[in-house]
Amino acid sequence: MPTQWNVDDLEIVGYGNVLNHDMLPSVVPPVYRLSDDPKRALLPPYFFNASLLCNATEVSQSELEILRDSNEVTLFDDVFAAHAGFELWIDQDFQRHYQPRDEANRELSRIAAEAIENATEALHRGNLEEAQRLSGVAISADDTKLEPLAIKAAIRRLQGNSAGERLMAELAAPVLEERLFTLLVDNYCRGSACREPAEEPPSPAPHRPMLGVACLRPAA
Amino acid sequence: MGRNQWKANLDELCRSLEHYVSNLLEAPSSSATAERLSNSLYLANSASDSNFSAICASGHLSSATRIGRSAPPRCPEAILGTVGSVFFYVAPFRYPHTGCGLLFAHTLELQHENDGVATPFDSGGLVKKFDRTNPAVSPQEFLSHHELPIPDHRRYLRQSMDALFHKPEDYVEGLQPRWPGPIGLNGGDERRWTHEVRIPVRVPVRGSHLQAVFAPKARVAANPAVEDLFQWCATEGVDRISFDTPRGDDFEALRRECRDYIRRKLY
Repeated sequence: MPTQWNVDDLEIVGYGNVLNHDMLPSVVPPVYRLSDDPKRALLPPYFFNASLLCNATEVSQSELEILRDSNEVTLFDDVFAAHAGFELWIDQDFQRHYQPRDEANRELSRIAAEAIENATEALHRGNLEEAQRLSGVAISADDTKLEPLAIKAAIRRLQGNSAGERLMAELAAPVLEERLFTLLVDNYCRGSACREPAEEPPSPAPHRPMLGVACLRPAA
Repeated sequence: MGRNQWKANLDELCRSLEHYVSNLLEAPSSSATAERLSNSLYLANSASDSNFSAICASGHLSSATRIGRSAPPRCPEAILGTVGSVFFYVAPFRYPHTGCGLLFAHTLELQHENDGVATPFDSGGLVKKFDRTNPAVSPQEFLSHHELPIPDHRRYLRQSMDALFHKPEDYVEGLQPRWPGPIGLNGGDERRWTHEVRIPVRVPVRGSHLQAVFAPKARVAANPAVEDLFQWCATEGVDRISFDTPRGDDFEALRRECRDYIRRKLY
């Protein structure tokens, strides 16, 4: 059995993941089958060596269907030819795209930039739900962007969820130190129509009108 | 079949290993590394993004039966009668086409010593992945002869780490053993020698046994159920590992992160 296949001899039948709406857009690893022997499918994990697909797991059509039924892979209704250097990704409407890697990266970066802009506007309008959805789109499209994490942290701060805010700082930590991330979040919060949660109300101590007023010495 | 039979299987398997080893030119010695790793290795369960989101939302790892998923008659779990179980590897994540995962402490086995069971291989692999040296024995029979009690199965794990592998860490790293051992399986991948633990029905996620949670950064940031679990873990002091997944290659990233984590914690 070969452990490597020429990508040009393969077709794409699906991808090795199952995604929910809030995970889109997303680059996905294709599930291939041999063009001249469609009953043999090739699953991730694998790697590419130039135009060769290496180390994939071969399964039968029936095994593939079992994996689909177990919610482990997604199969398309049709098949299409594979090409070396191409990327498969799924957009927010669950539509598939298969294009040269550079082109796919540009398109995903554009989606991320647009989603960040729209999330920022939604945040400024005080529409936290929409801002949250769009920041999710941005981070799904390009997980190297920090802005979606800062927007999400700002949303959590405005909701009074400090654990959620800290979690976003933790996700950003490998590339941005916490102090700078906090400044970024401050900036998003300042621009928001919502205000930060009100300060803690004073403790309900009994009201004493003369509290804090110096005692006057009685006149002699 | 119950715990007494599983104990008898374990004794028999350990005897077979001792006999197997006695025929090798180089007699292995028992090492502290094998002792430490076999006693403390985590239980790993990984899932596709969609399934992981459902696990986070429900708060449980559930068997296919429990979540009402009908198993096709040809699927290994249906053939072997294991659809009512939750599956773990006593190893890093090794189930492909998954992108997120949970590690549980070995103490989870103590809680299930009466209803959980182990095998010194991935049971599902018996159906199509591995070749049995004696094909006359059916997969079901083979499975029942190799079911071992938990956590006692770690005794065989320790002995085999020393006897069959170049060094005990090779088991964790997924490197081929030097010697195939007495079990009588060939082919497939590292799951052929990876211990599997099955626990019936369901296992709560948010409990004291949870050791670490792994998910791509984008999933933590974008999926409310995953974010919520990560927040809970932060509160409870459970380790959280988030990672980038260049080119959607989630499983490779998950596997690498898990191996790194185990090296940091247990080596």
